[in-house]
Amino acid sequence: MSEVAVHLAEPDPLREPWSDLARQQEAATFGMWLFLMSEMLFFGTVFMAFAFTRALNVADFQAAARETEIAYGGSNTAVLVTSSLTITLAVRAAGANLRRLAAGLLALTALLGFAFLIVKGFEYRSDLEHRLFPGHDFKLGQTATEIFWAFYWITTGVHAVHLAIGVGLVSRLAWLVRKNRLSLHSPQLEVTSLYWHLVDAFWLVLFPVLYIMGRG
Amino acid sequence: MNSADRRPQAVRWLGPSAAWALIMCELAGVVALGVAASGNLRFGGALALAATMLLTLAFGLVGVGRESPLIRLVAGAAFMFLALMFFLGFADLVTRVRYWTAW
Repeated sequence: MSEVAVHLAEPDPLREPWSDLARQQEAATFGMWLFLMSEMLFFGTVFMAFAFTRALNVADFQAAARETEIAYGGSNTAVLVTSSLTITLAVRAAGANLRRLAAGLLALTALLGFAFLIVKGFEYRSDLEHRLFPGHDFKLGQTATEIFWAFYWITTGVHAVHLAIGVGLVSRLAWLVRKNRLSLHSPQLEVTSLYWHLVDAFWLVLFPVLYIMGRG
Repeated sequence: MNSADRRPQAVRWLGPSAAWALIMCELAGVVALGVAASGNLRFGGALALAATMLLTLAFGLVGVGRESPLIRLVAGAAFMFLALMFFLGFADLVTRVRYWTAW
């Protein structure tokens, strides 16, 4: 199929009720930022609860944090930051009408997100083997160390759910772009990349807070 | 395509790549603090580097600075609410002498 035919076959990105693409793009981005704002406030509340509880139980939190594994957390941070780069480049490739490159970069982003989840799974398994799940069999006893590990499981678990959703969304976009079923100027690309960056941003806070700062 | 035509395209790819490289360097700094440093240096250094990584991500990869004023206002409001929440939550605690000696 020639380039002209491919161009003509590209789906129209404009949707009801918008009359022009720029306004639709701005509305979609604005809506996404409102969603991100609500997510930031949700995670912010959790971080504040963590910081407050830590301030009241410094020694226990330091002892608990020393059980975290920096190698897992550090390598996963590198993977996630790299995925943020690939999705940014995918959006830019789409803006430059480079469809195959955009599809490839989106697929790579989803793959990196999936790799993060796999590493996280290994880390969870190691944590469970070391009896670091709060409960009657908890390794460090019935102290505030349990609260630290409750925060650890809740925050990393909620983050993993967000990332799994992101992997699904980006995989779908990669497939649609590859099959020429989505316009390269669709707001979906920009909006999904914003969501992905949010998930990355949460991890950039979680990693130092859970793995580094708390060690004392 | 001559070199002048290539330049804008190269700059568009260079910015995010530079931001990524910077975040990786900051991440290396955070990991080094976790392995080598201790006490207040580890805590303060990791906190500062975490904030720097977030800013690099926001301006280098997300491109917050290039968004419309309305979106920047919404993003800024989220950070303001967070700051307000932390300030109100910690106002009592951080003004106690015992709190600072515990860290």
